[in-house]
Amino acid sequence: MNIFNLKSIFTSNLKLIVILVVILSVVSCSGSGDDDAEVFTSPTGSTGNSNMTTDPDPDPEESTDPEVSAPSFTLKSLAGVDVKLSDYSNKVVVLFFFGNSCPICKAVGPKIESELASPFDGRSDYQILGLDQWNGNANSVEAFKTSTNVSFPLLLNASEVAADYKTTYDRLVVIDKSGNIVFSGKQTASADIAAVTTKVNELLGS
Amino acid sequence: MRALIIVVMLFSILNVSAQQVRNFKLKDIENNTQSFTQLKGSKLTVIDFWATWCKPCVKAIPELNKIYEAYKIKGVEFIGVSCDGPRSVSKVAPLSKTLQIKYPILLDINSEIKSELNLNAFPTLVIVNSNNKIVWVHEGFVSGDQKLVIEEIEKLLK
Amino acid sequence: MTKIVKNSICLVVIVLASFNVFGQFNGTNLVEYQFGEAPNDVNAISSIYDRFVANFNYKSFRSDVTLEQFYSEYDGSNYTNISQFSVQYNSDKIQVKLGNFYETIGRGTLLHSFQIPGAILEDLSYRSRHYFNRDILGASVKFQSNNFMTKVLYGSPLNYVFPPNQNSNLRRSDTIAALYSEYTYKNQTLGAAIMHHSNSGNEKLFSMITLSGSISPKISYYTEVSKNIKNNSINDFSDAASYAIYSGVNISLNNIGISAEYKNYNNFLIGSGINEPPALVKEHTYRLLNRSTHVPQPLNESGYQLEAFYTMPNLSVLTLNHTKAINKFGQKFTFNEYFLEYDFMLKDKHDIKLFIDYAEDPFKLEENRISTGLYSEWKAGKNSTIRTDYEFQHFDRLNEGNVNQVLSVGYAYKSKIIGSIVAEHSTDNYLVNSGSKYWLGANLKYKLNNKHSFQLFAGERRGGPACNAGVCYEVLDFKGVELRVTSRF
Repeated sequence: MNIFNLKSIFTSNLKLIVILVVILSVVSCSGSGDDDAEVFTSPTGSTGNSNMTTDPDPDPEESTDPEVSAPSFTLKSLAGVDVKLSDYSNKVVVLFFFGNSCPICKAVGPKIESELASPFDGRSDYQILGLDQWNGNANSVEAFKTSTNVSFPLLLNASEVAADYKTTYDRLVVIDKSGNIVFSGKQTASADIAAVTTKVNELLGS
Repeated sequence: MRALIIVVMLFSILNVSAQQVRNFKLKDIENNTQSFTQLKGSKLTVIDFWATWCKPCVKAIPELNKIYEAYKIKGVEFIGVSCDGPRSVSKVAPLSKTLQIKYPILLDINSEIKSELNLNAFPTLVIVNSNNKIVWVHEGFVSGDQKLVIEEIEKLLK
Repeated sequence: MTKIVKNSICLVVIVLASFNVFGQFNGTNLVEYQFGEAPNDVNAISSIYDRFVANFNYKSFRSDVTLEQFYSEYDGSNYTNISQFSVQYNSDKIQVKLGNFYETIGRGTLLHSFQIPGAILEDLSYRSRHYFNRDILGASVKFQSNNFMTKVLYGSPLNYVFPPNQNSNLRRSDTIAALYSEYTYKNQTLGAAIMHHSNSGNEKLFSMITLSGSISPKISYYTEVSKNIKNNSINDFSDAASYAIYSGVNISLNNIGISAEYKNYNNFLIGSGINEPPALVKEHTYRLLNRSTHVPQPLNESGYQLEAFYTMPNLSVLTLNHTKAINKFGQKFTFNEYFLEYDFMLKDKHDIKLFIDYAEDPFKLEENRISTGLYSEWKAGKNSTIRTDYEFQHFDRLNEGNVNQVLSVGYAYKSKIIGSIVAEHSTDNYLVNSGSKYWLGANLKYKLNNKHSFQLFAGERRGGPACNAGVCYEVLDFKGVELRVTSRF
């Protein structure tokens, strides 16, 4: 193509230019909802705990371990009782988000039991809860319990709670006695068990 | 939302220049590094993007083998690019050999070439001319498609 | 802040596009409209997803941009996002990539990135839809000659569970820096990698060695050993060590092809799951078997896979597969699968596939799992085929029998129009507390030309685990109408 033939360039690219203008307008007109969306920036130490709908501040907080109050929840447990987070006020609470038939979650189950449940047996200031982010029925969560042999309460239909906590399945979250999130895992539960154990012991002063 | 719909409508009327295949280098099933320039045909090159787990791909191979044998002497070369990932790549060589594929099979474990060419389906057949420009793309394979491939090759050879 | 970045990217796109006169501009667009409900939804909602990919080539340079958008009635799940942006330089020997790119080291024991074209993910928590990929945001440089290759990469792999409207440090919590080099001599390749990984302040160092090649045109092999070398010694393969060993051999004897693979993985799940050691489990295309797949566990898994192909002189193919996988999580679980498939032509024109599969999967509590099916393509005219597929599965879970069935009837006119009706039935007590559940849906695909195609789905579709191009993920049930338009330009 002769690059000096401006007229033909313009006509052949007219459609393209129109489209790009439209794209630009779509991008720049987008609402504040995507302000903390991912763009071409490298990850920093900023937190993922700011709630998008209530916090329009485009610059996330910079501290690594902020005191964020743990969102409350009420969920039905496998045993059929309503479990509230507030039932455990003044306790250190560990939340294990899992998926009822998620293989990695099932694989890590026994380790969660042996390192984050049984060592704290009998402590009145500690509680670990499992939350099914995959919203399975009681049969599937029961099967999770059977194949992992976990003893702690398992709560059903926790997908929305996971979104409130900005987390997903196969993740660990630690809540201190004042009801603040002090640890929110960014990698698989198996990779975070050691860090969570340390954190819990620190909080319990043991 | 409205802008989105406008964008979509605009794309559907869009036509831009033909894509070009760069001189990629991949290993073949015997562990030799091969480049596109070494393998391309003097007139046309047919590239078959396939995977062992894709049934229509495997079904197309005996037909492609036949076309290859008929058109090889007319300056048409074939290249099979297997897009099998780590999960199934070990099956490419035994399956290719048992199917007695006559043309070279290259391994693209990351589907790099396929994504560079914005191809989305399996199998995808691509015909490239002597200037490395893509002149024909065909997605999927149902019986009878071999006729389309022959027709297209004949048309492009003229 | 992020808006400035976004707008500057737009500017770059515009500038690049105006350079169209010098280079070439190509792209694809996928738009999908849904009106319907996912599980637990009270009423149907409508949503639209669009993915626009454009690339620009000029001599040895290339630039790619991906624009993703999703809009539904849930405000919190909507977004317009530039999900990928990259600049690439390619020459005969050197390749440089900046921005979002895909790279796998060896067979993926250390790092596996991928994209599943056409797959759109939706998560129950975030209720947003997005592209299914694991790319790396950073930079890579690769040098390649005929017998030597080396690559250096740095970046953050994507955790695709979180949609693009989530914070980037949730989506990319891992950072890796890796070096991989290999040398080939007389068809034998020796390769080595070192990878530094960090996530939430935890740092790890991994190494990998691979040896592969072909001994003769009939026999080839591949071996890869990876280890965490930060805290354990290089020869420690005890229960506490982190390692992954993978090895495979291929043998071809005329019309018989054999692939034999061995795996041994322990504590080898890296970060948020950036690696994917080879599964060594057959990825089935049959619906029920695909859904029943065993997902390998890098935390602890050992086993093997044997597969044999036999092509008969009439081109019918017999495939045999046997897989064994042992997991130790508190107790020992042994997965076993035997699969036999026969694919042949009837009267030289009808394509028939028959399969039978037997598996024991104690980890999933599935015992005596028997699956069988018949897939047929009947040539009905010069350009038409009629497809009939049927599959049946039975297994015991905690002493209770469960049945799954699929029946599909379809019609294809060349590759132009493909329509099918899919009916599924299940008594799986994970899905129904008692009795049966049925799904009925219809698909219609129309290919306008080589550039545009339309796909329509209406009805109810069964979700569950799915494996596509070697990657397994979870798909949600869907009930409603869905229209997808794909275009390339």
